[in-house]
Parts: sequence; structure tokens; C-alpha cells
Amino acid sequence: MTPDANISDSATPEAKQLSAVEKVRRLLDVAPPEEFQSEWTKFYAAEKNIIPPVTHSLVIFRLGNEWLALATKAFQEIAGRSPIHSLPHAKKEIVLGLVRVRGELLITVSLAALLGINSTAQQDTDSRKVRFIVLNKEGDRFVFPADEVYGVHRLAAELQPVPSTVANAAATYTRGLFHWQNKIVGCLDEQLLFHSLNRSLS
Amino acid sequence: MSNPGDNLSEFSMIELFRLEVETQKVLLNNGLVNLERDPTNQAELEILMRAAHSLKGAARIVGLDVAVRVAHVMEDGFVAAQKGSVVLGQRQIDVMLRGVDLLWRIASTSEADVPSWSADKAPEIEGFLDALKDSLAGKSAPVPAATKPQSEAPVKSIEKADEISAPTTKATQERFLRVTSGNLNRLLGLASESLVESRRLRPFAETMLRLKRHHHDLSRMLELLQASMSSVDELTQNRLTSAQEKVAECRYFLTERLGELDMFDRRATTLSKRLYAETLSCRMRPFADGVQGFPRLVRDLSRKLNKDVRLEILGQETQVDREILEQLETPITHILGNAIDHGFESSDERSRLGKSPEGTLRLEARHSAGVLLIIVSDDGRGIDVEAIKRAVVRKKLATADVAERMSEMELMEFLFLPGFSMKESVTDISGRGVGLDIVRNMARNVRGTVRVSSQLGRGTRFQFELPLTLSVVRSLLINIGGEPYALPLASVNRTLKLRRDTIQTLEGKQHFPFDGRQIGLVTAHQVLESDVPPPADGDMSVIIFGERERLYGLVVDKFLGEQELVVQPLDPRLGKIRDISSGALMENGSPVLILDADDLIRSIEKLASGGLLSKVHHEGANVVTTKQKRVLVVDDSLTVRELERKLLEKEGYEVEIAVDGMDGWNAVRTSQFDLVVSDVDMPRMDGIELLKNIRADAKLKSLPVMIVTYKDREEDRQRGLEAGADYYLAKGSFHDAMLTNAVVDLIGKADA
Repeated sequence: MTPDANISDSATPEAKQLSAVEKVRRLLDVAPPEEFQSEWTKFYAAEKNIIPPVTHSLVIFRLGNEWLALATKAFQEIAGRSPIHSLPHAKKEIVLGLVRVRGELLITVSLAALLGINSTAQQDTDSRKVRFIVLNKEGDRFVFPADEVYGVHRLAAELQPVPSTVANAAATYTRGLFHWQNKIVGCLDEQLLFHSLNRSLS
Repeated sequence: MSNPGDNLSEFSMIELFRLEVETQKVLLNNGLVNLERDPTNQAELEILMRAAHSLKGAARIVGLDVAVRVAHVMEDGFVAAQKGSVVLGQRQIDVMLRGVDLLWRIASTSEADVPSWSADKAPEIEGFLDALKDSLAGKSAPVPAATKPQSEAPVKSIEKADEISAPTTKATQERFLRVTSGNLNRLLGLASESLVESRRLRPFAETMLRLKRHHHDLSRMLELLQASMSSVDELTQNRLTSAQEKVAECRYFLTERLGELDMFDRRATTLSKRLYAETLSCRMRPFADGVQGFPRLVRDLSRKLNKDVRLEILGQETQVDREILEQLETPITHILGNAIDHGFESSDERSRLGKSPEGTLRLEARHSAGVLLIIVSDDGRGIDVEAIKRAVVRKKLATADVAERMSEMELMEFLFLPGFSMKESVTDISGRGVGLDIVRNMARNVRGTVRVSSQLGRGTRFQFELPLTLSVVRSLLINIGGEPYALPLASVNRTLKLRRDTIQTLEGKQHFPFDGRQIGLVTAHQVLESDVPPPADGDMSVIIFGERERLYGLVVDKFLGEQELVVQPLDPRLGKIRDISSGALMENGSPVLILDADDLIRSIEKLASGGLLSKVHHEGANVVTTKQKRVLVVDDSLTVRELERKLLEKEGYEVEIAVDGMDGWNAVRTSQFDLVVSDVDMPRMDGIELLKNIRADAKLKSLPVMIVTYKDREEDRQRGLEAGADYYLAKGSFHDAMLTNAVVDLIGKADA
């Protein structure tokens, strides 16, 4: 009978614990295999194989003929079409009214009107592609109809600057451009967007 | 993709301590009031001791030493009382109650003012500590009768105390679960969404029945086909038979699935309904939550006025809407104060009258036939109807003759008139003329009523009849310009269909005869400025609004029926929308707006009196659209902003404002300006940075920018001009002409 077995059979719990500690100590004291150190040295000394980092996580959508994108973190959800109730006394250009999303009444705006884009998303009841997008920035929420939503796109490149010759309303809100599926997509500045949308309410 | 988080982790330490004191305060106040009637009640003492002990611990954690000391001395007092070495009489309880107030005041201090408790307010603390020690020492002699049995009793009674206090603390924990209203609203939204979704199953199942009918038709056709074929070969017969079998199989399968769908529909609907009802009920709180302060209030008042009054609260578990519960506090306080001040006789008088020397005030809440009843009654001297009559005549509210013929109920109504008081003397507590009208207003505010009845010499009774909840409102659904709106039934006087030929026009305004008089008629389209034209033929749907002298008819497109709506507040960023009070969802999930009856009456009155004028005015406004120069004023000081705005608007410029550099930067990029006037020192982005941003932007770089600041030193001026400012104006030398002259120099006159 080994001393170990002797202890574990008859000894007090304290003695058992001692033996466990002892086992761990022995395990940790084992010398590492010879090639261990050199292997890791090589690993860390090797040139880094850099994977291009994802610089932007964006949701791509379409308003009229324009493809646009906004940072994913500004999105709360993408919902289906739902009836909009207009607000009395309101200028109906940008603020469209209220819409039900998950049982709550949210303010619906026309992003297309803000950007000066012709879109039929809010009238066209036949289109199966129309989606109502819910944006949320620090608790401020807006819904806007989009003609089509592609989904999340991870962009691993820097945005290209907007040519200064473009001077329409949409360009004001564009942080930069990028190529996607043979199209040029404008990436919108959500901070500026919320600023204008919030101002349009009062 | 996240929701705004709101939970306790956002509270600061002192705020958490405040929540703790808020909870323990109620236990302490009520325990002390109970103890006064039963000074050796071990169960109460145990609760009190624990409450003080918890507060001491909490105060130590947040580092409020003063609060630790106050709670510590109180705890010692309770421990001594538990041991029987001290009896907490009225005097000691007075001081203890002061201690509770003191703790609450400490907890209510803003973070910045906390140090003041150990500085200038320190004498108050010391004063309290001394007072408590003195009062405890003053009666330190053990009560002879009580000591003996207590030497054995404590163990037993503490066990008993555990029994009693265990459920109370549990109930307390349940009661004080804190949910933010935002969370609750989202939960309610989700529950209502699931209810709407579940309602879609039934129509879907019904369309599936059509498929079942088609199957039935198909098998009939196959039968007919078989009948029409007299002699067929075996192969055809076989094929026909297997087709018939297949159809039968399909029908069987479909019937089965439809049965399952039906079951599923029923389960889903019931589940959603219950979930919704349960969530709605979260808005309810037990009556007990709203009346916690009253025992202490009654005790303090009756001590002050030298009356002996006991408060009984019944129906503490009755569910009351949170909002109603909050609004009840003031009127009930008022009624209780009135009752103690002049409702009750003195103890001596009561004994002489053969009543129990101690008066009883009873506060009761219960549900009855779909309404919430709140009853406050006393067994005091009651209201003398004859005295009301005299007061009515004296105040010339009615002639003696008329007053004599009034019923008791009619006379009681006078008590609710503003300024009507029967008492000639004004005391600190009641009889100030701000009388029962506030009680009635509260009841009206929540769409309820209040009545008073009394028996002379036997007591008075106030009875509130209130809606069970404010979150649900019975409404008339109407259609205006193709969209649904709702009007609370309480505000609808009458609805009717009106033939077009009964309408008369007088001075360009429409009228119709109603109840023997002419009532002005306004279309809802006009009121809400709908751009959809109203229907031009058929009977008109009219809602009669308002009271007696101010009746109006509102023309709507269609009545859609009656429905209970769950009220949803609108996004606060919209501000108050005229004529709208809130929103709701209809059964099919469509949004509906709830009209604000008070606003509507005002809008209608305006239209009925000056409607035509405003129309003319409206057309005139379109003509005056000359282009003015636009100036953006960026300053974090409201005063400076408004001053600059006024000065510039007086010169005819159109002025927009931004509250800091970031706001200004957003504004210049999204709107056209001819000039930016900016401060330097601002949060988030200062004026220099804003200026640099503007100069670096391809489209904005030539936008003129004027810097206005207190910084009058040469290096500041240099810094501003280097960053690209077109003008640098020091506020020290700031007077009217300088700013406007500089602006004119830079961009010319407003309309040039």
C-alpha cells in the first residue's frame, strides 16, 4: 500500500486536502518539455500576419435610387410596414407621424425628405421590400421608412471623401463613400442626422 | 441595438441611502405611533430596533457619520426599551420622531451639501442627540410592574416578534420593488404587441376554412365524375379511387391541423390577454403604499390640537392606480386635518356626550361595482346643516327662502365651493378658505366624484368614487380625415346625426338648432388642420361638447364605436401637441390619437369667433417671404444667447441658436447661415475648435465667424484671430450698437 492511498482512505479531511495540494505542487514542478520554450519564442518572434480590421459595421439600405449606410449601433430594429398616424397641426414634410413598433408609439420621420431624395417607401403599399427602420441614439428614437434594406455590412476599408462638387442635401449628411456590389454607398453621419431630426420636431 | 438602460446602478451612493431611509422611515414612523398606544409591545420594538440598525449600517457604508450617530442613539434607545430598562412614553416618542425627520433631512441633502451637516448644521445634530439622551435618562427608572414578567418574557416575545416581523418585512420587500416607468411602459408595449399578434390567428384560421371548403368541393366533383362515367376500364377506376382517397386523406389531415390551430389560437389569445392584464396591473399599487404617512400625521396633529384621535386604515391591500394614489395624498391630508381640527370634540366633551373619549378616524379603500371607493369618516360632531344654511344666506349665495327648500345633499354641495368656510376663525391647520374645492378638483382631475354626508353629533363621511385606473379610458372612436381619433366618453355630451338641410349659416358661421337653441358648428378638419377634405354629402356625424352656455358641435367623418383604450404618453420631444392628450393602440394594432377635450373647446371657440379672420391672415402670411440674412448664435449662457438674439432680431436678422460648440457645428452643417456669432468657453466643443472646424470644411470655410467673449486679453484675441475669426468682440465692451454695427460691417443689413 502506498502512503498516498493510506492517507486518502483513513485520514481526516484536512489530511486529504493536504494531499491534493501536494499533488498540484508536484504537477507544477514538472520541468517543461525541451522544445517548449523555443517553440513559443519562434511564435512571438515571427512577423505578424495582419488581418485587415473591420473599421465600420454598417447597415446598408436604399432610399429611392440612393444606397445609404448608417452605423449598426444606431439601429434598434428593422420592422415591417405599419400604418402611420399623422399628427395634427404638424408640418408634414419631415415628421410623418406615429407608428406602432413593439406596442409602443414611435415618431416616424421621412429621412428621404430630410436628404432631398425621392422615395415612395411611405406610400407604396405593394412593395414587399419596404422596411421601417428604428434608430436609437441614447434613448432618442426615430422610425423611418426605407425602400429596401440589405443588412449589416462589415467594411474593412476607410471611407472615401465626398467629392466637393456634390452639394445636395444628402451630401451634407454624408461622412464618406464606399463601394459595395458595384454601387457607391453614402455613409451617413448619425450624429448630424439626429441633430436635424430632433430640431425638426420643435 | 439597445434600449436606454435604467436601473439602480445609475444611482449615486447618497441616492441609494435616500431610498433606504424612505423605506425605513415608514417603518419607524408607524412603529413609533403604534408604540405610543402600547409602549411595551416587543414586536414593534423589534421592528423599530432593526430599522434603526439597518439605517446605521447604511449610513456607515455611504460614510454619513452624522446619520450613523443619530441612528445609533435611536437604536440604543430601542434596545434599552426592549430590555425594559426604559419605557418610551409620549415625550420620548416625540424626540424619536424628530430623529426620523432628521435622518430624512440628512438623506435628502444634495451631495454637495452633505458636508454642511458636520459644519453649520452640527449644533442641530448635537441638540437632538442630547435631547434624546436626556429624555431616555429622564425615565430610566424601570417600570416596576413590567420588569418582572419581562425578565422571562423577552425570549418568548422576541420569538413572537420574529413571527410577526418576518411576514411584514417580506411584504415590505415586495411592496418596494422599484421598476422605472420606462421599463414598465416598454413591458406594457410588448404585452400589447403580443395581444395584437395573437388576434391575427383567428382571421388566419378562418381563411383556412376556405381551403377546407375547396377540398369538400373537390371530393364532390370526383363523386360526380364517377357517377357520370358509366363504364370505365379498371385503370381509370383505380386512378379515380386513389384520387378520392387522397382527397379524403387531405381533408382529414386539414381538419386535424385546423383543430390544433384553433387550440393554439385560444391558448395564445388567453395567454396574451392575461399577460397584458398582469402588466397593466403593475401600474396598480396597494392602498397601503399611499397612506404610510397618515398615522404619523394624525398623531402629530391631534397632539398639537390637544385631541385624542385614533386613525384606522382599512383595505390596505386594495389595488389603486399609481397616479391616483399620488393625487389622493393632498385631499386626504386636507380632510384628515379638517376632521381633527373641527370635526372632533375634546375628550371631556366626548365623555359628557356618552361617546368613547378617544375619537376614531377611519380611512377605507375598496373596489365596488367597477369603481374605487375611498371613504374618510369620523365619529365626531358632524356637520350642522342649519349652520350651512345660515352661512349660505350670510354669503348671499341663496335667499333664506331658497336655502330653506334645499335638500341636505344640495346644501352639502356648498362646502365644495371655493372660499366657502363655515368657521369664522382661521387656524394653522384648516379653515383658511382654501377648502374642499381642492378635494373636488382632484376627484374631477381623475374623472371621479366626491360626496359628503353627515349626521349631526354622530360624524361626517367623505366618499370618493374614482375610476379603477387612469391607464384605461373608455372612448368614442371617430374618423377624421381618414384617420382614427378617440374622445374620452366623459367629455362627450351627446352624439347625433344631422341632416345637411338643418344647418343654417349666419355671418359665414354654421349653426344648427339643438335643445331649443342655436349651436355653433365646426368641422374637426378645420380644428386639426387636416388637408384631406371632409365628405361633402350624406348626414353629418356631430359630437356635442362643453357645458351649458358653451355648447359646440364638432363635425367628424364617421363614428367608429366605443372602446376601452390603454393610454400611452407620447414622446416628450413632441412637446404638447395642441388638441391631443395622448396616444393608444386600437384592437387591430393601429395607432389612434386621444383628443384633449379642454384644448378642443378652446380651439373651437377660437375658430367660432375668429375663424374667418385667421384664414385671411393665413393667406396673407404666404406673401411675405423675402429672404432675410440668417445668423447662428452659439453660446452656453441663456442670458447672452437671448440678449444677442433680441438685438439681432430687432435689426431684422433671422436668428437661430445653438447651446454649445457641438450643437453649433451640427447646425452650420445642416442649415444655411450668413454669419456665426460664437462664445469661446463652452462645454463639449469650444468656440475656437468650432471656428477651426468651420475653416477646415470645404463648403463652410468662407462663412464669416464673429467671436464674442469675456476674454479681453491680447493673447486671447490673437488666438481667436489666428484660428480665423473675422471679428473679435469682447463682452466687457459689449453694448447694443457694437454688436449690431459689427454684424452690419461683416455681412451687411438684414435684407440687403
